[in-house]
Amino acid sequence: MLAEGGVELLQGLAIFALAAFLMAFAVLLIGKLIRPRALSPEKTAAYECGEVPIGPGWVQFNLRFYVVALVFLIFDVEIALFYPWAVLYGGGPGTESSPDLYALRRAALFDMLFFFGVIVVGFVYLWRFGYLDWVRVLTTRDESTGEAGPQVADLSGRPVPPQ
Amino acid sequence: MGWLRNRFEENFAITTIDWALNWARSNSVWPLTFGLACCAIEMMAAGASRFDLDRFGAGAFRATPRQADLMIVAGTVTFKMAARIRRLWEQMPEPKYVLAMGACTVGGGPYFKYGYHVVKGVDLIVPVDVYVPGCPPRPEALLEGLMRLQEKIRAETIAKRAEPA
Repeated sequence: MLAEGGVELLQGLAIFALAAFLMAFAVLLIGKLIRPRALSPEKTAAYECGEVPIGPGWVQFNLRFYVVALVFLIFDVEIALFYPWAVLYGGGPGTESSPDLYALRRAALFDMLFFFGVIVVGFVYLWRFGYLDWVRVLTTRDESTGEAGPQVADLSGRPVPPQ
Repeated sequence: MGWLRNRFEENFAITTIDWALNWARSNSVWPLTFGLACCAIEMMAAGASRFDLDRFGAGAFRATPRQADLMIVAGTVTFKMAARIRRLWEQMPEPKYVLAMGACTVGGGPYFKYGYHVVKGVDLIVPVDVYVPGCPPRPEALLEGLMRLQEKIRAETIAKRAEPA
């Protein structure tokens, strides 16, 4: 059974949901009734300042941009968190000092070091597996003979175990 | 065109809808950011604070034809530009209007006789609603043209047209 007042609550929610749906639906319906609709190939084409579009608008970008975006995001968030942390807990001239404040600052320092450690692990991973290189190194090369060594990574950048 | 269009005789409901639609459309005629030659300078002046096209609801110059209602063809239309103008006009959503600004777009202007490269009037490419003469027209003339266009929009109706006798 519903708790006391539950029925009223459900009624209210139902009326609210229905009203929200009707309002959105009514606006869409009015637009559907009065708007002119005249599609043509030119109108549905991509807009390139009046020029004939070259190729479709749906182009697949290189998937490696995804990794670049992730790396950027990591460092972006890092800066966004580091900056207020440094300003607030930095101390500096003119800021008062007390044992409580000192403890708070020490806790904040260790918190930030932990956060930075997590980021660094990701960074080392990227570095180790070549995500920072645009052109992946697939094989090693013996410096003395110039011969190609065993393959160390496949085309996707995953390391290949030594044979 | 819309479902309501040409479907009902002229009656109170239809004329009320007409009034509301025309009120909304005529007071927010968004022009396309589209200047071809010196007339565009006057168009920019008309959009700026001294003449203030925004008083008539037409100050929001859109950078894409998808959002534009009015194409102010401001300047000399060369043959090279003609195909682009046509394509931009095709890409504008209905209802769309064209305002030919200046002597060149009205009918070739000073290039009429010897201009081997100029289209003799933009109405050869797109249907023109309002012609604003001048070389170039002053911003006041453009405002006048815009008000004429608004009058034209307010006279539109979605009622069923009388059968031609």
